[in-house]
Amino acid sequence: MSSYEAYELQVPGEAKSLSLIRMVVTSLAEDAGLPQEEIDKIEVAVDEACTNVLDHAYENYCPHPPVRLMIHSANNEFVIDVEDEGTHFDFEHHKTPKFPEHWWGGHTRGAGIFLIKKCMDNVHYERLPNEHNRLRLIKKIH
Amino acid sequence: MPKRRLDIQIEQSDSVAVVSLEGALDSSNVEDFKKTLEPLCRLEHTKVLLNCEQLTYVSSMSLGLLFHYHRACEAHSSQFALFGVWERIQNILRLLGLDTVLNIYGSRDEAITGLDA
Repeated sequence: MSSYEAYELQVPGEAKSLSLIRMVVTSLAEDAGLPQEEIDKIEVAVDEACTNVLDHAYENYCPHPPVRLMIHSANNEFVIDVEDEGTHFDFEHHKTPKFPEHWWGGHTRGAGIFLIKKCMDNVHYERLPNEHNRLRLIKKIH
Repeated sequence: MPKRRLDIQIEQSDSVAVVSLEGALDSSNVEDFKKTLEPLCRLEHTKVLLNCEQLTYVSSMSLGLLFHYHRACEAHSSQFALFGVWERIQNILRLLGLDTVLNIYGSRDEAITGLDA
């Protein structure tokens, strides 16, 4: 992917969209010249981000609104914006569990944001003026 | 459209159940995975082996279930193990500390032998 190219992808807000999202994002990350190990991390982060939208932001929405992704690379960064129309989340004050202790407490979920932060170089979450939410995932291109 | 379905095959003998997964395990198919694993993890004195040789991707929701099944097997005097896990998935298991609490082996034979030890 050349530095001036940007891509937009809008998919139904359903779990069946996740494989398409992963395929498109990993393909673009490969085009951007990222190594496979980093592409694998991006795949995890974007899948977890979109899963959180479907399961949490859209929890009380029927039918689910779409999920929109904007992907571009510039200034040695590969950037994925995940935009939803659902309930806002207090990302700043989210307390990340400790692992593996978290699992001993009987939990089977709760690792998504931890993985997103571990897999990406920078993560920003904000409420947009149009009342959508945007999670920006940034991977540095070395 | 890319392949969404997770193919699940079960081979079951007296004391060993091998569940082979092919494809990606995410929230679109995790219910199929749960329906397969939950009855197996209630069996007594059984080695429940998850064949991950053709498993290309696993979401955190599904990884979290693995420890749940590990403990369920223990509660029924059974054992739970994974084998053939791709390096990219092992990396995520490490990040979540699951590599220290799950039985993970290279191959089916290593899993059966290792669980006997």
